[in-house]
Amino acid sequence: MIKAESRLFTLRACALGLSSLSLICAACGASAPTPELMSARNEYAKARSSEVEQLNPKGLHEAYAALQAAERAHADSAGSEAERSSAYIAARKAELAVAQASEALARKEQTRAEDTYKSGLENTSRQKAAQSAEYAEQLSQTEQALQQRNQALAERDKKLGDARRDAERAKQELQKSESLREEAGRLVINLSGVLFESGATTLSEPAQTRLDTVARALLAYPDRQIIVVGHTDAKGNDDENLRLSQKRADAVRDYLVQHGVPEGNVRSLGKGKGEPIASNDTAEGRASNRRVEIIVEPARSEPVGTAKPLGSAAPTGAASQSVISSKAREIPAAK
Amino acid sequence: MRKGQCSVAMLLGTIALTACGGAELSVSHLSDARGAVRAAEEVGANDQPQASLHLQLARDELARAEALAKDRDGERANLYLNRAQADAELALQLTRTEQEQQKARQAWQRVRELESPNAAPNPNPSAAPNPNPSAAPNPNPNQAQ
Repeated sequence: MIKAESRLFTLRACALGLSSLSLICAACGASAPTPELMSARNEYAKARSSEVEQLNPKGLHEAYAALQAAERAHADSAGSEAERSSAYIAARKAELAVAQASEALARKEQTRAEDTYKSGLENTSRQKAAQSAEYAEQLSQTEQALQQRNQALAERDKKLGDARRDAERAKQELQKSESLREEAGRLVINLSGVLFESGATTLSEPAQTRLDTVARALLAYPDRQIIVVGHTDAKGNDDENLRLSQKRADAVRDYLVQHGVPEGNVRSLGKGKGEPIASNDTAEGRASNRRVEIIVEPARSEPVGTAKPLGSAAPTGAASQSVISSKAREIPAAK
Repeated sequence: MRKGQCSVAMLLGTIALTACGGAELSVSHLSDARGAVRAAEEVGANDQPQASLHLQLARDELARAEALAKDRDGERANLYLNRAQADAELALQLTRTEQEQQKARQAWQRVRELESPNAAPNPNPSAAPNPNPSAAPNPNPNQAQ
């Protein structure tokens, strides 16, 4: 640093000396400088006024030495070829110093650009790494969520399996009691006997016990539509029979819903005396006609035609008529 | 430093020859000037306008020096050899400077492409503006004489 300042001071002192020399020559009546010398002085001045002093002090010093030589040649033999030649060379030296400084500056710029590029690459790399880490975290969370979901599904499957086994047992119980049949793809559960007190719509205790078994069996068909159909015998007022059969079907439906059958899957229907399965002229026939049937519709993908056709004993009429049990039990009069 | 020593040696050689014959041209001086012209040609001074101008001046001055030597005017021949060498050195330096500036512009172009990956690469990087033009000294300060 001190050396550079010293050199700068020397250069400035030399420049001052050069100017003084020119003045002395002029005072002595020396000849005017040649165009080459004027050009050399001009080029040197331009070099000094730019950043060459900082970027290329050595080159500037050489240019100064060349200019000094030209000035001496001018002092020794003004206008001579030696003066013109040395001045020409001094001008070139000044231009050379500027060009060398420009090269140094270009190298610095190149280094700066390369450093910026490297830094930019590192930033990009860091950003990509951060993004990758973020993706990895998201993936981990997704995998965790998936694992939890799979566990939940497994638990659900297990519960479903348990429920199906339970339902299967219940179904077997129903089959043993001859309450369950399959007709035209539908399952028909026929509930007869003392389900309700006479004229009442409240389920009796034995009826609730039987419906518990039915509800468990129905859990095996969570996707099926279920219709609870109430029937009466032919005694009494038609409107009253219809109202009574509807209320009893409603009571059975509500009980099933309370015991786990999906509410949206089950509906009730009262048919009154309209669909007898036995003669209303005898007490046994009327008992058979007073019943509640639970019809489990086939799954949507199940081809209905694959099931066995109904027996000819079934009365014709609405769809539900086709599944009316032909094996209704004789029950005591409930109405 | 070594170059300076060589120059001093050559100058002494020239003085010695001139003192002996008065019209002799220093062989080493001539060789140096030719070498400088050749070096400028090799770095590609012909392809850069300003450098090309000084290279041509150097060739002309070299030819003039050789002609003067034939006429046994060694003193003036040496003066022209000095001019030829100065012009050749300047041509070489101007070429190198331009090449380094081109590299710097290309380096900044790469930076711009990195910062804007969707930007189309500049088909003519030499036309790219210097990102820090105020810091650059005049790359072509020469004036033909």
